[in-house]
Amino acid sequence: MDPTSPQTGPLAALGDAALVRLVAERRPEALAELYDRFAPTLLALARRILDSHADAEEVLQEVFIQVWNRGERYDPARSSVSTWMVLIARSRAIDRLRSRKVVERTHEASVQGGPGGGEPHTSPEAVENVWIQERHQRVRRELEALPVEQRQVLEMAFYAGLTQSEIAAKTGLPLGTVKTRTLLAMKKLRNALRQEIRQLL
Amino acid sequence: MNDELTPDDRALLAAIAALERGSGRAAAPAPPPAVPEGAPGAAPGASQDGGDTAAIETLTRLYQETLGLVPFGLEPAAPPPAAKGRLMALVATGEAGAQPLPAADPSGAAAVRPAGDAGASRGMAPDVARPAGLRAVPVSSHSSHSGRAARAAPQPVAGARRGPSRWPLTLAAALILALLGAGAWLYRGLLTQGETIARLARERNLALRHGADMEARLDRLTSQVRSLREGVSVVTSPAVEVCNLRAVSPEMADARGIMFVAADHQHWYLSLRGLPPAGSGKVYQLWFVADQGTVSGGIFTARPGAPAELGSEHMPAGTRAVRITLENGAGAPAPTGPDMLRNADTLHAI
Repeated sequence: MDPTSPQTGPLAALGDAALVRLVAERRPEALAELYDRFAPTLLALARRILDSHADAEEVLQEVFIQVWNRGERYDPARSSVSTWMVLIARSRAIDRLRSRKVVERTHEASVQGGPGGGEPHTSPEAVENVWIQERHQRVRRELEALPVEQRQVLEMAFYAGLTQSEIAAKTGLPLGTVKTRTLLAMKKLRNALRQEIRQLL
Repeated sequence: MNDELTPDDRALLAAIAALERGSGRAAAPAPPPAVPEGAPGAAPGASQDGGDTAAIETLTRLYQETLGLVPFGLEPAAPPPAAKGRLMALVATGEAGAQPLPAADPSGAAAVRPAGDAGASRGMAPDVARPAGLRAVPVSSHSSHSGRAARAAPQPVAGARRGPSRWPLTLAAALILALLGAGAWLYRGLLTQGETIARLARERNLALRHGADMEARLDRLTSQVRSLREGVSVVTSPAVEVCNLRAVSPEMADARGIMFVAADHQHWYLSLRGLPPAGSGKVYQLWFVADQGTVSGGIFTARPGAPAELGSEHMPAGTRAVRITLENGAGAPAPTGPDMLRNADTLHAI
């Protein structure tokens, strides 16, 4: 039996891609299940980028509305559902950030490593999916294992939406150094998270 | 420069470049030609290039997934409970399709569509070039059916029919006036509602304060009633043991007490009369002399002419005697002050 088939078992047992297929068939319960799985991660991402609870919650809603409206366009051959949604959320949050023209402030928060924007509003119930909870733990551990200077450039690129040249200008580092650090960070992460990536593919 | 890069490097750079573009979707870059074009043996699409391209595509996907994992390093944040409800309400009512969505779509689909494809962003089929197509068709070529359609929808073929009736303009003007009127009415309603809300908030705060006072009073009364009930239940229980307390100190000559201990040797009730006020900075403290030593039964004060009543559901095991001493401040862990009253009768050890 195909475990990802939308026809089998409760929604919680379905794979992410199967849920997106159901969303494409306009099944709200599938969207609700995706929300339960990914909203805490996506909200944390948006808050990290935007440094604003209200803006982050709006971005979160936009992401899921986009998933609802464009679910049929999701192509599992191009990216996992998790990465698809993460990149949608990041793209929307960065767009909003740029429109607010507060890149500078968020960059500083990013360098300091703090989420900013007040209390994190976390709760033990935030992540109900055990597998995603484990993913959080493993990724956090591997990110913390990166050398600080490599993690810094990666976070500036990912969370502040800065280009390599902008990072070089901000940090005063040579562009080549920034690129090297980014490449090293990504290669280490890819190797360290090989198991996670295999699960996504 | 590119010749020095491995396919892995090129894939990684492509993934990062896509991230910088904001799309997040990396198109695998074609490998640089190893041999200059036109040189002998430089066949376009050589198998080596094809192999590189496939490898780079795979690697690019791996790096893209790696980037997608980065936010999992953050502490997850629980959305407010109402947020999911709002989203599902939008979806249920169909309003989600009307939400404005920018063209950016990390899935890559938006990148190959012209900008402003709002219809597609709402999950509908992409718009076709409808206005231009209609203008290109001569009016004379319309069939009778399309002619009816054209009359029903005058805007796209406005140039084909001169002198349209004014009723659409009149209707639009009437609608605008109606909207303006409704807007003014709503604005006035909002102002009134704001005043009402402020007044209700003031009344609510007053009621809350009054409620808090009443609640505190009720708590006090409830506590008194509970204490009385406990006392009554102890003194009226069948096998109750009674123990008299007599003054020890001369200044307590008028003081006396009576303790009731229920059959379970746990519930007890003590009524004291004739106790003078303890004095400034002083308190009375009750002690049970039991197997485990002398255990405090609590501190209390006394008012002139009013009885002091104490009670509890717990008496130390093996209590043989009861003492009341005068102590400083908030009492003491062991008796330090002079004995004021003691039990005149022997309590049976439990």
